[in-house]
Amino acid sequence: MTASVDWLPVAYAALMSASFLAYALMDGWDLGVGIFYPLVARAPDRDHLLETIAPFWDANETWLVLGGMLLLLGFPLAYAVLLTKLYLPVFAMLFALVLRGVSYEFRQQGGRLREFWGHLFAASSVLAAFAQGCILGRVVEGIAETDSASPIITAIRGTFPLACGVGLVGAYALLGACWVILKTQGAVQVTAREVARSALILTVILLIVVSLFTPLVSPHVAHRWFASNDGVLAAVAVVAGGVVIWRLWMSIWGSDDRRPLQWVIALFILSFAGIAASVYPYVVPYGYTLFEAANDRKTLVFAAVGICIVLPVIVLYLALGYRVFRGKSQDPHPEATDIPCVSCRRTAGHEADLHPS
Amino acid sequence: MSSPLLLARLQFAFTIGFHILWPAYSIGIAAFIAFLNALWLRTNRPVYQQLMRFWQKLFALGFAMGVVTGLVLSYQIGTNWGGFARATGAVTGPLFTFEVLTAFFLEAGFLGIALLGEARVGRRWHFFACLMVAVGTMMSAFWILSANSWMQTPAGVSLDTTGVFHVTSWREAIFNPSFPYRLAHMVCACLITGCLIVAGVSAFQLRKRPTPETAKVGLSLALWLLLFLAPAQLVLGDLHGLNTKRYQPMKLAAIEARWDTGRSVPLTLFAWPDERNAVNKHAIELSHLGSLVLTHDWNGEVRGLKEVGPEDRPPVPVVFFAFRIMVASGLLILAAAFLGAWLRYKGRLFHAPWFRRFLIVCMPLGWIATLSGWVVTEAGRQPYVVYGMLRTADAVSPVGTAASGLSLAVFIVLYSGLFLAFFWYWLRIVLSGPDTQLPTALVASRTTTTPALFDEQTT
Repeated sequence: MTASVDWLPVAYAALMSASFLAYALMDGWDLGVGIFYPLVARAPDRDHLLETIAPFWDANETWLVLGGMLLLLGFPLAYAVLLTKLYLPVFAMLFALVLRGVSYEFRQQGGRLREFWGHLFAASSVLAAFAQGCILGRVVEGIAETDSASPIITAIRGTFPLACGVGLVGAYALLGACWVILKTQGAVQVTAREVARSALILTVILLIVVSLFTPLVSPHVAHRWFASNDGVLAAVAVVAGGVVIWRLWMSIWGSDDRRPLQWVIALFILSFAGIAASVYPYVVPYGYTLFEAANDRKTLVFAAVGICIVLPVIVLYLALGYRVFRGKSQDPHPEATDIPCVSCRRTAGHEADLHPS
Repeated sequence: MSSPLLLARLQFAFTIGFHILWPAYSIGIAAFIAFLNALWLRTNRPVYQQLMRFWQKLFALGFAMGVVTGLVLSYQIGTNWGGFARATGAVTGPLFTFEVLTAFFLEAGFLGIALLGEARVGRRWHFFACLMVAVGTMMSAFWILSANSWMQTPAGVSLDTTGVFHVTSWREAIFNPSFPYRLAHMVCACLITGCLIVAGVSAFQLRKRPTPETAKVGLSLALWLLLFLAPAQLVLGDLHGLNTKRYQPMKLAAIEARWDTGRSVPLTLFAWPDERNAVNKHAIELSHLGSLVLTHDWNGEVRGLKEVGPEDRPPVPVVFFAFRIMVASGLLILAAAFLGAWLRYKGRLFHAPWFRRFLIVCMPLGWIATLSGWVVTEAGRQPYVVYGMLRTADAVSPVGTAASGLSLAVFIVLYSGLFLAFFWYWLRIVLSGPDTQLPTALVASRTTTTPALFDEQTT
């Protein structure tokens, strides 16, 4: 056997991971807004909060569909095994995402049930985040059955995904708060800064706990982390993580509203890359490697051509969408805000257009 | 049938059946919105803008339902149909991925601009965004119907000894024999579904006095479109039937509840198919017409279900009755289209209360016909998931009865609630009607609308 690596399955794994990461980031801040929702007390501020994600959430959720389909395309065996084994958390996530999406739309319709849908939006966002964390935890500790583990290890393996779930709820709340800092002003933004710091504390604590227990629940990860070559890389990652967390902490009350989101994205990318590198080369941890589960080469080549043509165009117009709605989101109740909207992109003429009253 | 298999099938049938309502709605309405936007761009008549904004609100609601219920399906293939994913991943993987890339992102990416960005991007770009949403919904139909048609009439593949499909020709697999017919039939069904809903809502709003201009324009447009689409659908359905006869003879036999192969077969209008004894009870038949309709030949041969063993037959009553529901709905839709044309010719289109009521009743017919059509084609494919090549029983995931029963129960409760809530909010928007008070950039040209022209005949 030669040492050269078949690059095609690796490329698909990278693309799939990138898609899941894009989902975690962009729908992460949508879910974060949902987790954040009950912490905002005043009704006009809640409207403002939800307005920030209005043009985006449909497209953001699509990355999850793409990730799932790339798993099927790249590694049909892994798609079948992973989803069958993760039946309950996957369905919990799906139910939560269904509720999240529709309760958002129904809340925007107004009426007497407005707050009911608002709370359902918040609850389903929390559940979706928790379920995704659990799925991540189960993947990291390994889907394939382990035999003859000690009762302590079994207990830890049972609790580990739950800790990951709580961690991801905190991380999404952090992401959502940083998004809100970018997109709003006034009272909502102040609340977001406060929530961001609390969420960061929760996230960091759980990040540390989960990282400490990961080598315990997964011998493969332990081997990777403490092997001489990769150990250096792991140490570098830990230091980089520390720096990012520190910069993020400092930027939350900083003068530039863009910085918190940038640093939290950096933290997500770092963590995600860390997980991906730890689990590599497995796609069904720790049963099948991505080379074993890869689809037919002919299929992968055929699809790659299409992906290479279409994906850049998608990224381009999604970026265009974010650009069209760049800047501060419009406050649906400008009269209720104590700080005037100074850096609003809209001209007075546009305002009049949308507020006929 | 084992109970995990039955539960998995029920769950998928329920979730995909619920899901297909929304694409059918979105494809039709998105095309209508793009059409209205084009009219507005050309004519500058505010009524088109008002209608467009109104239908965008109704569209957004249905689109969200489509997005969330579609997300479920993209994972359910793995959770419940792992055997299918494993066996057909080489074929279906690229098709599903292309659907996400060329359709879902296009729709969702431009939806924000289409719904909320009109003031930010200007009218031309806004039209472009609406057009992209409509194109996206069509692209989605293209890929998913290619995948589904491949399951109906598999081509361009080889099956290895472990039961895994490998592609030998992408052209043959994507453009498999039943794909053009199924795609045309489904897209036409979606457009008709949209037309019927627009017509029904407009007819409902015609009751207001003074009669809103938007209701008249909406009704008129919808009925013009329906007049072309409904007969076209009849022709497409017939062609699709000929295709089914050639490639899936047992499905056609189940549609007609035809047990024995024969020539000059009668057309069965109604019967009670008895699967155990392989006979029809209480059959009402028209002689020779079956052969004429199915083969376009007075003495044409139609194959019967007895050519294969009972274990290889689709569930006959399901297919038989679903087909008749579809055809009955189609004939009613055709009647609505022709009645509308006749009333228009007589100049009474907006002044026939009975026709208004009839159109309101006809509103769900597009959905009913689409849904029963899908029941025909999917149940008619049984007992295979990939026709003749992979049995449904071999495609199911090893999931316990408790887990799949629980998820099915939650789906039923959840989706029923969602449907009620959707209908409630949808009705609220319909009841409040198009906002004709919106200030537009074209306030000056408003004087061109002349409601009096029609109202003088009202009394």
